[in-house]
Amino acid sequence: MSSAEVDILLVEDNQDDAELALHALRREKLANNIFVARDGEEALEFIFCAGAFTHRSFEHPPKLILLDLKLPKVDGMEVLKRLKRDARTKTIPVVIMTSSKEERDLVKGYGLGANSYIQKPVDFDQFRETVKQVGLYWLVTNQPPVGNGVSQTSRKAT
Amino acid sequence: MLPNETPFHSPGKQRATAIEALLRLKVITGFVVAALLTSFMGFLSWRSTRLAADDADWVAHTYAVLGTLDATLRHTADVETAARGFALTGEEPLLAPFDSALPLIGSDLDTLRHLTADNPTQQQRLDALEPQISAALAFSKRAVTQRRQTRAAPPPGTFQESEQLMETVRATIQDMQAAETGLLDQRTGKAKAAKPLTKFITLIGAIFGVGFLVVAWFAINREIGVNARAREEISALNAELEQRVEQRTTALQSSEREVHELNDELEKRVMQRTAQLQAANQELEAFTYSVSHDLRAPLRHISGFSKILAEEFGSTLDPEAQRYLQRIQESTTRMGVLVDDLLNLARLGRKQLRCQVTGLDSVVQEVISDLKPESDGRQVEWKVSNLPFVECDPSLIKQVFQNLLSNALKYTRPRASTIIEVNQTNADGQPVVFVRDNGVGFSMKYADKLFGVFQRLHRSEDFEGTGVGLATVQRIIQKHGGRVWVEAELDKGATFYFTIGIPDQTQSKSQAAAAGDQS
Repeated sequence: MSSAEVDILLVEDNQDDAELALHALRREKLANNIFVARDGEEALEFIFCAGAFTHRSFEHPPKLILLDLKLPKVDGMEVLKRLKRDARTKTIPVVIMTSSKEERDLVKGYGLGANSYIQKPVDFDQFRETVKQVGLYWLVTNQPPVGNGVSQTSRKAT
Repeated sequence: MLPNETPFHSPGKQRATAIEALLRLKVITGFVVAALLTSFMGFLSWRSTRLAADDADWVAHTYAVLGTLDATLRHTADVETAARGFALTGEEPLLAPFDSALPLIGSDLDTLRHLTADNPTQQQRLDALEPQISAALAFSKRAVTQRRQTRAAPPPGTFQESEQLMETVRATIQDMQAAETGLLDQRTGKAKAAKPLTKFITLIGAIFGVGFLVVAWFAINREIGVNARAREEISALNAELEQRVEQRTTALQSSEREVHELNDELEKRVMQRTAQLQAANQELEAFTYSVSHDLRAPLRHISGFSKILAEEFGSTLDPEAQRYLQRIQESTTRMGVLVDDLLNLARLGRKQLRCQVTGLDSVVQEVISDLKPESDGRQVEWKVSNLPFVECDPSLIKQVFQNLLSNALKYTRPRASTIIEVNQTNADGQPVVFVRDNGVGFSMKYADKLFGVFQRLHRSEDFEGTGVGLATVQRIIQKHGGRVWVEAELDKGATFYFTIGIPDQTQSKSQAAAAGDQS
């Protein structure tokens, strides 16, 4: 997994959730270039090419960010806020994937500029279906803004 | 002052007025009596003075009469004496008194006539006196004339007649003098007799005056005393009144303070309760959130990994192990539904209603459409008609129909032909919506348990479910100010009734016309 060119940034603190998500994405062949950040701070460093990721460049931002809300250090909402506040990163699609269906989280998430909000279904079949739809939609169906650098390789991967 | 209380000032004021009136009457009476008494005394005094003046007049008059009588007698005597002397001596100088006295006698008599004009007796005597004097004077004149003629002394005894005449004159005058003196005495005596009475009356008057003054003094003193007492009484009453007003004011103030304190206390308690409620709400919210987030995560993992296990390693497991994996899957799914239902029910408690006029018909149609997968392959007749427009939260009311209709569908599963009716009726003039099915029903003795959380009347092998659905229905209907109840019979079916808000009559009619029986 190369951190230089990443299709999906999965921000997920829970090992099990991360593994299940990767399993589902792998099945749909969407897991070629995935980076998993385990907390909000790591996610921000990755996106803004800071800390351990200074070698990364803004030339290759992730094409999709799957963001959990309950995260250690910096929570998901804060990550979302900083992303969407910055001109360099605000066009990256962010899909909130969380256990919570709290209305205030929904309102706040969309208010901060989230592109989609998904409650992780308990049933694994449904979960898999959801992950598949999200991955296909944002990486294949959706047309990103020009210069967002969506590579043809990932499309081929589907 | 309260309306049923006697006004304090009134008796004092009335009394003061009465006392003043009495005092005025007494003063007026006293003044009148004093005026009368003074007038009477004045009259007496005036009368006494008048009488004294009268007496003095009378005395003067009497002396004038007596003097004139004396003068008359003296003049007459002078004339007689002079005439006699001249006649005896022939000396002219002796005639001087004769000449001077004679002319006076006429005026003397005139004066007498005038002075005694009011006394007929004296006038009579005067009538007698005048000829006597005239006779005496005529005799004297004659004697003088004779002497001049004869130039000789008259014979002795000539003047005896003259002396007799004079005697008569003297006697008459003395009579008159006596009568006049007697009259004077009589008058003076009368005046004297009247004086003691006057004195007596004056004395009595003086005594009365002094007595009256004394009485007035005491009366006024007494009045002053009474007045002072009345004033004291009034001021005492006023003081009492003021004291009572003060007492009332103090009582009012203290009760007001009490009310304030009670209010403050109440407010404090309300604030405490509110704070407690807010804390409880926040706790519940936190709980709900963590259940939602933290409880669902491990469930998801169990579901996910067991699924992967079954899919990727299923072929290496014996059938028994595969069956267990299947059971794990099912339990996980059920628990997921249960958690979701519970969370939904919990959220209802604090959810704000977003009410709008909603046509129940379209809501029901939507739910029926959602339930299509469950009714597939079954013969189901939906009889939806006559549903009203109501003011409600559409998303919540949809949940109600979701629960009721899926229940109806579930408990009619054993029936070859299912009929589910959604309609409106009336109970006590209030529109009631009902959902009727021809399912397995239940015994009414368990009806009261039906709306409790986790209360189930059927075994889950026969009919799946969490026991939260009807509790949710009840919570939503109650939140809308409505009521939900059920009528059922074992093996005959069940009918769920509910009321909701106040329906929009005009629109419900048009919808009733538009909606027909549907199957």
